[in-house]
Amino acid sequence: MVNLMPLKIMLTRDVREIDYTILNLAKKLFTKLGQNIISIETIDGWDGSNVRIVVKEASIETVKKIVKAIRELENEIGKPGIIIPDVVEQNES
Amino acid sequence: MSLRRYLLKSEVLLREADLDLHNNCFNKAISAYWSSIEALLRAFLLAIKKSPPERAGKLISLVSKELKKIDPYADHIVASINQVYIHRRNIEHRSKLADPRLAKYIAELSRIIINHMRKIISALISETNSAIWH
Repeated sequence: MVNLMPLKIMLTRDVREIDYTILNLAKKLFTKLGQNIISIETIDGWDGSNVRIVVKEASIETVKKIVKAIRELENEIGKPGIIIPDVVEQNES
Repeated sequence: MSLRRYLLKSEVLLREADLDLHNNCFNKAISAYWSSIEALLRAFLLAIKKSPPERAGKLISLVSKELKKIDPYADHIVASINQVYIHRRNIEHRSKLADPRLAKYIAELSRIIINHMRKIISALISETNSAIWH
């Protein structure tokens, strides 16, 4: 049996402001989507995306909930457009 | 490209998207709906004298910031833009295939976004024209 770590938060460089935003986003997504969320990581995507959210299934409902959580968080911190998400299914990541 | 050319491009791409949907070409329809929206987002930024970024993610981010300053419905519209873009990216660049339900949902969201953005851009153009004449 594989002993999976239940949660791992790892920094591979100096901490940046966006990291705190991502941690807050993770909290919201775990609350709203529970086990549909596989992982959340900061990225430097080819299209400008800065967060990859890996989900079990990128359904209409899941994407809608993720986008809503992002908007809520951006409004809370007063920074619209700071999170540029890439939502990808587990088998594609 | 000028603002008016982007507006025209958006209109043409919307017609093509509707045709694709009508002909059950669901993957092509989703791509075309996104392209129509993308052209309008570029037109919006040009209308407020901002330079549109090349990359789609950055484009949405800048539109989000600017729209929030002038539009009370910005949250709703930006959320819809993000949804269309996320699904389009998964359809166009990953192994996912569109089904009729997703394509119809994207068509519905796209029409809301496009109608709303057209109104905003028209208002901005009228404002600019009126400032020139007064």
